[in-house]
Order: sequence, then C-alpha cells, then structure tokens
Amino acid sequence: MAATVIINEKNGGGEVATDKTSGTVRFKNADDASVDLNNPLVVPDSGQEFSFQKYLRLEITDWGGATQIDNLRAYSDGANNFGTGIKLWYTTAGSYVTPEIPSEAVDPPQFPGTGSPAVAMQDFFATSAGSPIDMDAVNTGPITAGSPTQEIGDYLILVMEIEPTATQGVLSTETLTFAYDEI
Amino acid sequence: MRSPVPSRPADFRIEGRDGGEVHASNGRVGLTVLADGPTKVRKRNAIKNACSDRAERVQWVYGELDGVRVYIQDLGQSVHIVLSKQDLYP
Repeated sequence: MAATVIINEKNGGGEVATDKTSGTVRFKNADDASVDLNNPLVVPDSGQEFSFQKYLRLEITDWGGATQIDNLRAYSDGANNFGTGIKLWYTTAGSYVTPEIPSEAVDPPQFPGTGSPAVAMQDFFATSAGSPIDMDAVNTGPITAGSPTQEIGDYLILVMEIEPTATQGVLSTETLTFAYDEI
Repeated sequence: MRSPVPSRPADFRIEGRDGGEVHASNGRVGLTVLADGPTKVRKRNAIKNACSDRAERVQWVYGELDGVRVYIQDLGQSVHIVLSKQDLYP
C-alpha cells in the first residue's frame, strides 16, 4: 500500500489546515478556506486587484508501508483558461507567515506581500510537467517514515490578480498537479 | 474527514536497494532492473486536478539504469511504457 498524501490549505495566524485535496481553493479578499461568495475579488477600474495569498502544503497522513518520499513537485497544465485579465502568480517558501494581500502598487505581486527582502512572484501557468516547481528546495528530502502524520516540503504560495479587462463572475477550476517519488 | 480522491488501480511494491538489483511489481505488472550499473526504482505519484472535485491519484513506477529510465503506468486494460533519459511527470 502506498502512502496517503493530502494537500492542505493553511490560513490564519494559527496556520489552520484544511484538507483541499479534492476541495476548491477559493481566491478572495479574506484569509479563510471557505468556498463561498463572501469577500469576492472586484474587477478594478484601473491598476490591479490581488487576492490574499493562498498557502498550500503536502501532508503525509498515513505512511502505508512506504519508507521514503522525495522529489516533490507542483505544476500547471501550462495554459491559463481563467480568461482575459486574470492571472495566477506563485512562489515557494520554507516557512509559514500569516497570509496577506501583496501591495497593489507593484505588479507582478511581491513576496512577502509587504516588507523585505521581496521577490517578484512568477507566472504559475509558465509551469508544466516539463518545467515543474521544485517543492523541496528549502525543506529538502528525502523524508523518511517517522511520525504518523507529517507535513512535508515547501509551501506553494499563490496569488490571483484581477485586471480591469476581466469579466465578472465565478471562474471555472484550473489544473494543479502535485507529484512526488516514493519507495 | 479525508477527501474522497479515487484510488489508483494498483500500487507497486519495490524490493531491493539503489545501486543493486531492484524489483517492482503490483501483482500484474513487474519490472526488474539488473545491477549492470547505477540503479534506482521509484514510484512516481501525482495528484492531478488537485484542489477540485476532479482530483485523481496517478502512479507510475520507473526504473533507472545508467541514467536511462523506463517509466511504466498500469492502466488496467493496458500498460504504457516510456523509455527515456528525461525526468518525466504524470
């Protein structure tokens, strides 16, 4: 039997985890995991609007006889189907900070959202199976069987950008893949 | 409560160590890598369409010998095999 690995969304100052392996991650103007219509992103008249950062991280909930996991990766299908004026940015980090909205004075968004040193986030749809994001660059593997449940690898941090040319409405889902090697 | 992600058809089991002779099998499909050079066998797992109700777990197994890899995916009705030096992902 293989290890059971899930995807958590992390929110709040307490880093509250919500299993989103098969659940929607809703980009909004609030730091919570609720999939609702509260605190929606608003199409701006000018400039751009950024969502709160979304922190995602893998967790092993059952080793299932596996002894080692490494080579964590994440990627898109390489195509932005959200529509005109809507972008998705990413970066990775080795530790958690309470999510925030990046400064809307700078485009693309910076990470951390405020403070320094800041780096420009990158286009998530420039990633693909052929060019994946390294998700264990800071918290390096291999991770060996230990505690019954264990968060692993780096945090994937996503920010949605809305530009004036965007169309109003709830967006359809986009493709995100997490991958890892196991013995 | 854990997410109801559909399980893959069969999990591979790996026996042996890196550098030596290594076997992988899921009871239907087997792979043996002989120790004719540096060897490695891994299960390459992916959660595709993650964070949606279309989430799906996919498992490949790959064996590596001298930097050349054979990737195997058991599709139930058939088996897909790719031979490459590339680092491929589902």
